[in-house]
Amino acid sequence: MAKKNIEERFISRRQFLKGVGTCVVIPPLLSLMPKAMAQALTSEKRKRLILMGTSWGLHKSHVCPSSAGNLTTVNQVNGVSVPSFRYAPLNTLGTNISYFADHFRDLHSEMNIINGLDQANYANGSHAMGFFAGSDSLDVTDLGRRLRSGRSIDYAILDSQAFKASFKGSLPVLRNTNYDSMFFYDRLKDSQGNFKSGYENSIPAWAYVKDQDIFQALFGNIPSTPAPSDPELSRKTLIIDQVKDDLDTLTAHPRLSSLDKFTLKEFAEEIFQIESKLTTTAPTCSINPGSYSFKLKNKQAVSTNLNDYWKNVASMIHLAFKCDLTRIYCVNLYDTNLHHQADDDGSASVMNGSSYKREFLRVMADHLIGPMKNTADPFSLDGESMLDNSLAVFHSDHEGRAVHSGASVPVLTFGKLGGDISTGNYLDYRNKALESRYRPYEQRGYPSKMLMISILQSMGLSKAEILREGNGSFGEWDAFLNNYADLKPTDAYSSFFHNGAHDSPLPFFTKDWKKL
Amino acid sequence: MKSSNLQKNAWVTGLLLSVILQGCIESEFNFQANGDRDRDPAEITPHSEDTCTEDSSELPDDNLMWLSRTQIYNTYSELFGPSTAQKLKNEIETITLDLKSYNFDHALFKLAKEDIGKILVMSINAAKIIYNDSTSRKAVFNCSTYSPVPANCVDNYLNGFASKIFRRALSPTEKQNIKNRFFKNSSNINSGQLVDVLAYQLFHPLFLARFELGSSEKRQAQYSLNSYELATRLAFAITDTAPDQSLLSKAADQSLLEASVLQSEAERLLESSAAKKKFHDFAFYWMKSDASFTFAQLPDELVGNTQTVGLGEAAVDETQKFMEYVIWSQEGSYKDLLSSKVSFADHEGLASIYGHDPATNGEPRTFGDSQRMGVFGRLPFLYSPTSRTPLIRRSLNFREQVLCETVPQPSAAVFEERGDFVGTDEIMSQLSTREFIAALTGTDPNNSRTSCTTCHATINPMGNLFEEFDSLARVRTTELVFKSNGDFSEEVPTNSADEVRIGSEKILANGYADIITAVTNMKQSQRCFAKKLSSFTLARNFNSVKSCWVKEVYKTINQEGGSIKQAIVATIMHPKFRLRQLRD
Repeated sequence: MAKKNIEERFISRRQFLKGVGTCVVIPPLLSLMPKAMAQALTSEKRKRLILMGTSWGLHKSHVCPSSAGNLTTVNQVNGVSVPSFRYAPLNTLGTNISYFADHFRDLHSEMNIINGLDQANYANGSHAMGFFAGSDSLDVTDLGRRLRSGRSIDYAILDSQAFKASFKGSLPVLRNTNYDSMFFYDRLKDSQGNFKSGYENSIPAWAYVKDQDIFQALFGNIPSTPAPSDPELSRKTLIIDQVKDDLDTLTAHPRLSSLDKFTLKEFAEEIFQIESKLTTTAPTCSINPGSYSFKLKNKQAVSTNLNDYWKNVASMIHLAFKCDLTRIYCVNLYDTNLHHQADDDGSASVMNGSSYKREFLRVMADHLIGPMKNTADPFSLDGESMLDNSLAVFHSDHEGRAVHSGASVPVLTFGKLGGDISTGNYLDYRNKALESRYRPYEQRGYPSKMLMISILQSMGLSKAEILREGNGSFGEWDAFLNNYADLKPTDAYSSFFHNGAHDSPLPFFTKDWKKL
Repeated sequence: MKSSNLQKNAWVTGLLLSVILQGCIESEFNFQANGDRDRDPAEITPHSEDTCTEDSSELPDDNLMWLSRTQIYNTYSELFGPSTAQKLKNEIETITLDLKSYNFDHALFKLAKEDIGKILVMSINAAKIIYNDSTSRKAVFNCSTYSPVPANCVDNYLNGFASKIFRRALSPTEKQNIKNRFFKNSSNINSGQLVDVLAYQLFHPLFLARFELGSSEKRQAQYSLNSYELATRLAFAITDTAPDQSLLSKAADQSLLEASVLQSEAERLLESSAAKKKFHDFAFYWMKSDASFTFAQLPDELVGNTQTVGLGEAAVDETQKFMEYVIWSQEGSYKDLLSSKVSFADHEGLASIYGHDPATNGEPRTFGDSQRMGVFGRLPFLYSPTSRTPLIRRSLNFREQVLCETVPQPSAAVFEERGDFVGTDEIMSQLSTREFIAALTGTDPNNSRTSCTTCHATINPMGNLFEEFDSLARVRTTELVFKSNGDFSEEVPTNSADEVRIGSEKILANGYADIITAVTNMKQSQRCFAKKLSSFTLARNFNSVKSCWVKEVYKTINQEGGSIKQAIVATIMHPKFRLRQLRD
C-alpha cells in the first residue's frame, strides 16, 4: 500500500504497519505444519465471548416479538422433566418480529432472542441485580463481584483452570468500559467532544475506554511488520523436537513410578505448548494493510464520532480474535443521566435513551458479529466460521420500562460457541403469555443464572468452578432466589427454589443439555 | 494486673493442667513404658537403642528429582566454572524451584510450567556464553578448529563432556540420535550446531533432574543404583552439585560401588568448599530460620546504640563461620554445636550483642555472657522484627527442631475462643512478654481459656526460658514494653525461669543455658539431631526418629568423640543409600 493511502487513514505509517492488519490464516499452511501441530488445532477450539450489557433501557419491543407465531411448549429435555418453556424458530415468526430481529435478519440462523429470564431478587431490583453484565456492573468497589452488583462471567472464566491452560496470550479479557457508575463512553466527553479532564484517573488498569488505548493494549506489543521470526525459533524447535523424542523413551522406562511418569508427561506437555506457541501465534499475526480501517488519530484522544468509535473498536476486536490476542470482549453501556428516560422513546434519530444502544448494537453486528460469521476461524481445521466458535450476548439488566425490574429481561445471542449453543430461535422461558411483556412478578421465568452456566460450561469450567461462591462464580445466587421462595413445591417453577434446578445450564439453548 | 500474681497463677495453672499437657505434644518418642517416667531423662531411650523401624520415607519412590535453583547454579559452576555460573545467575534466580524453604517433600517439588520456557531460553544463552568463551569452549568441545568443525570433535564431545552434563555415559543409541538430529551432514558441521547440542543437553530432563533407574530395565520393588547414580546421589548429598571428574571416573570404572571407595570419596568431598557451603546452611535449616532480617520496626528506644546496619548479613556470616569452625576446624560434635561459646562476630553491632570485641582476622572470640551458647543462642534463632520477643515461635521451633516434638496447629474453635479475649492496650502494654503471652493464651487463671491452655501450658514455659534474650538477641534482665502505637510504655523485669516438660521429665531451668545443658545430654535430642542431619544431607524428610537409618547416624553421634563429619559419612554409608524403592 502506498504511503499516501496510509496517511489518509490518519495514522502514521509505522503505527499502521504496527497494528493494522490481518492474521495469516492457518489452513493454507496446514500441509507445512508438523503433524502434532495440526492435531493441536483440531483438538482445541478457540472459543470467544463478546459480552455486551446495558444496565438499562433496552426497549423490549425492539427485541422480543409482540405477536406470536406458533410456539412449541417444552416440558422435557433429553428425557428430563423441566419447567415448561416455549420456543419458535425465528424463520417461522414472519417478517415483522421486532426491531432487532428484523434488522439482523441475515444473522437469524446464528442468533437467538431470549425472553423471560429472571434475575436474582428481581422484585427489589436495582441495577444489575444478578445478571452478568459483560464486565462489571454498577458497583465495582470490589470489581463488580458483589452479590448486589451482579455476576461477572469474565471473572469466572479468568479464574478457571481450563481457561488459564488454554490461553497463553497476555490479555485474555478486554474490558471496554469505565468504572464506577459505568458511564457510557459518550458521557465522558465535554461539549467540545473531548474527554473530560481528569477522567483518566478514574479508569482502572484493567479497563480501556479510548479506542487508541484499546489498540495499544491489543497490538502494542506486536513487532513491526514484517513480523520478525524468533531468531532462535529453529534452534528452539530443534531442541524441543529431540527432547520430546527422548521423553517418549524415558517415560516408557519400567523403573519409573507412576508419579515420575506423570511428571515427565507434564514436562512434555509444556514443551509441546511452548513449541505450539512458537510455531503458531507469533508468525500468524502478521500485518496486511488494507483489510482494516482503524481511524485512530495519532496523539488525539479518541474518535469524536460515536459510530466511528464503535466501528474502530469492533474492527480491532475482530482482528484480535483472529490473532488470539484476546478471547473475551466486555462492554457495558450505562448512562447515569439518561438511563431513566431511556425507554420507550422509540426514536432512532435522537441520541438518547435506548436509541444509542440500538445504534451501538447495529454497529457491533455490522462490524464485528457479521464479519465473524464471514471469516473462517484461523484456528479451526473444520471450516468453521469465527462466529461458529464464538458467542456474542447483548442483554439488559432490566426488562425495559422505567422501573427497576429484573424480571423477564431481554437477551440477544449470536453464535454457536463451538457447537454447544443451538441457534435460530425465539426462546421464551416464562410462565406467561407471549403478549405479556412485563411484570407482574408472580409470573416467574427461568433464573438468568442458567444462561450464565450454559456459557461457562461451554467455556470449559468445571462444576465446582461454576458453582463456587464468590470471586466470579454463581454459587451465592441461591441466596437471592426469593422470587421463587413463595412458590409451593407443586408449582411448575418451584423446582428452581426447592430442588436446586437452577444449578444447570439453560435447556434447549444448550444443545446437548444435561444437568450439571 | 501485678506481674507477680500472673507469674504465680501461671505456675498454678501449669501444675493443674499437667495431665492435659501430655496430650498436646506430638512426640516422635512414644514413651509407652510407664517405667520410663521415673528414670533419669539422660538415660531414657525412646525406644531401645537397638530398636528401629523400617521407615517408608527412607526409600521414597520418586526416581525423578528436579534440581533446585541452587543446585542448577552449583551444577553450572561445577561444569563450566564459577564465572559462567555467575553470568547466568540472574536467569537462574528467576526459576521458582528451590529448596531454601527446606521442604524436602519431593511430591511437592515440581518444576513449574512457567519455569520450563525460562529454562529453554536460559539453556540457549548458556550454550552461547560457554561457546563464546574460549576457555570454556576448549573444556567442553576441545576441537582442533571450529571452522569447520571436524567430525571427530563431535564424537569426542559425545564420549566426553556430554556424559558430564547427563552425569552418566551416553548410550550408543543416544549418541546416534543426537548425531541424526543435530549433525545430519558430518562433513559440514558449524559452530551453531555445537551450540545447539549443548543447549539441548542443558534443557534436557537428564540434566535438570536426577533419575535413578539402576542398571537394568527389570521392574523390581527394590534395586541398587548404578555407579553413576550412586556418584550423583553422593555428590548432591555432600556438595549439592553434580559429581566432579574424579567421582565420575570412579563411577565409570565402577570402583565407587566398593564401600571403601564410597567412603573415601565421601570423606574427600566433605573437605571441598562446596560441602562447606552446603553444611553451613544446615544451621539455618536446624533453627528454622530463613536468614532474613529487618530491624526497621524496632523502636529506637529498644535498639539503643546497637549497630543494626549490616547486622543481618553479619549474623548469617558469623553463623556460617561458626559451623565451619565446629564441623571442620574442630572436627566437632553435636554437643559442640549446641554448647560451644565460640563466636566469630566481627560486626560491631553483632559483637556487642554477643558480648565481646569484634573478631579480627578470623580469630574466634568467646561469648561475653554466661547465658549464651551454641547455635540456638545466636541472632538468627532469637531474632524478632518487633519489640515483643517471639516467645511462642522460639518454643515451638526448639521443640520441633531439637526434640522432634510438634504441637498441633490450633483449631478454628481455639481461635474463636481466643477472640473473646481482648485486653486493652493500656493493660497489655504494662505486661512483660511472658505475662502478655500468658494472658493471651489463657495460662493466666484470671483469663483462663481451656482450649488454649491445653497446649500453651506446654508451649509457654519453654519459650519463657528464652526470655533472657531480647528481639536483638541481647541478654536482658528487664524488658522495654511499648504500646501498640509504638510509644514507650514502661520497663518491666524479665523472668526466664520455668519448669518445662520433655517427655515425662520435668526440668527446672533458670533460662536458656540450663535447658541447653539438659537437652545436650538427652538421647532424645541426639536422635532428633541424627534425623535432622540425615534429612538435610539427603534432602529428604525422614518420617521418624525411629528409622533404622537415623539410628545408625545416631550411634555415630552418641559415641565418644563422634563428629558431625562422621555422622554425615555414616548417613552415606548406610546400605540403603545405594538402594531405590519402587512401590507402584
